[in-house]
Amino acid sequence: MDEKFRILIAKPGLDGHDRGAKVVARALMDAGMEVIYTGLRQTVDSIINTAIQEDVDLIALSILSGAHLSVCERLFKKMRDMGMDVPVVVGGIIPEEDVEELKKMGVKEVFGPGTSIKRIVEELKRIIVERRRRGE
Amino acid sequence: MNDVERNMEISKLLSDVEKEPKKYHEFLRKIDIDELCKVDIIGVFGSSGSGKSSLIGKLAKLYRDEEKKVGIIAIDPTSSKSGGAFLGDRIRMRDLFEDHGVFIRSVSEKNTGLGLNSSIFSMVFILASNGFEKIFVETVGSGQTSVDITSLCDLSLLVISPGSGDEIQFMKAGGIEQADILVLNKSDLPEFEFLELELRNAMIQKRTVRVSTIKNENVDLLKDEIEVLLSKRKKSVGYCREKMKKRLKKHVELILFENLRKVLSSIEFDLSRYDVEMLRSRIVEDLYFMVKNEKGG
Ligand SMILES: Nc1nc2c(ncn2[C@@H]2O[C@H](COP(=O)(O)OP(=O)(O)OP(=O)(O)O)[C@@H](O)[C@H]2O)c(=O)[nH]1
Ligand SMILES: [Mg+2]
Repeated sequence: MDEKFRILIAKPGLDGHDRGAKVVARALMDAGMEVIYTGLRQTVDSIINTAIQEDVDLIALSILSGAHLSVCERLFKKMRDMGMDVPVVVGGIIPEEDVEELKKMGVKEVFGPGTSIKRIVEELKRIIVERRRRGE
Repeated sequence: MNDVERNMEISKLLSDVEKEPKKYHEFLRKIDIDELCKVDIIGVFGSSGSGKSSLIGKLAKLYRDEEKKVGIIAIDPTSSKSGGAFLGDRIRMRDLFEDHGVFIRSVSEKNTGLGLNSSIFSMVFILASNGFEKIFVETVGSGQTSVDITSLCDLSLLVISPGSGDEIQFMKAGGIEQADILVLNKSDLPEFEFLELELRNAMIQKRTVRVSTIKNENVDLLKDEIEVLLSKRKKSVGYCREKMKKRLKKHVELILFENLRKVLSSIEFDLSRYDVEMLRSRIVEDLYFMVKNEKGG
């Protein structure tokens, strides 16, 4: 059966443009994935609700505002409280020292501004395939 | 179980339609048709960008004010090249994201070319059996799509806006005939009067509501129209059984169609090795065969 990968691309926080997120969305679609796109200024609650209703395989956050630590902290806390286990990746301008911090929280992968689209696609596929293989 | 946990379960069930057909079969067997009939299923179709998602968002909000639970299935086209899809209808419904009484599921059309696929029918049944009282199904398209969507829905809206130039397209394809209500959207735009003129010239006789979704003008009026029509329809004797039969019939047709496409795509693979002469004789042979069969040979 050809099961489609479903990915939520969300932009939390107040920063005002989503060009980067759209480029990635487009590339994922070209790679055969279903991309759910929700637009700017998403709250943690709305990201979680969308992820639940759309039954996505992965949440990709695009954060340029510098709020990555606090957003992820709240997101993971909420997900834990709800017994939700969906892989999360982060893209954006993230200082080196915060990457470790994010991964400690549970972020699977962090993509900086220079990352090639090809690598993003490959990494996301790997994360999803691994999760499916583990059964759930 | 709280609302969130409930939504998690419903979401898994929706995924099961494609992932675990057996589980879905069990569900289908248990569906109570009389219960299902209490739910109103509203189809929304029209060309890309006419404002379907925005309008559904506003209508849903009005129903939420009455504490009715709302389900939304938003269909977007599948890229025929990659099989992927950009599902962006949610962007227009952001006021609803934190409301657990609204369940939005985005689906890709899956290249049926119909703006619909068999899974949509299943998903609507699932939402309808899980406490959602108003269900919207959004899809792009005209012609065949409008026929299929009207067989699924209790009522359907065709959304048209100025500048799309698709009015004539919809008429040719029978889209306007299929719709119960013609929604002329974006009445706030100056070009709107041309749209009205065009429709008047085409002498279209159809229940019509003019709205500006962005300014939230007349959306309440549209909702009243919808409610009047729905209750009239549902009161008529035998409506529910008859509707359900139509739905299931279309559901079966779509499944057959999708299976046939699978078979065809494997033949296509075979044919790619044919050269022009081989293809030519294949056509003649197949035509000969068809004609012979039609004559009862
Ligand atoms: N001026 C004006 N713009 C509107 C109105 N309603 C919707 N729009 C805009 O029209 C554009 C398309 O709206 P959508 O709701 O996404 O249209 P759609 O029919 O769902 O589009 P697809 O899902 O792509 O087929 C958006 O930019 C909306 O903001 C309206 O009443 N007036
Ligand atoms: Mg839409």
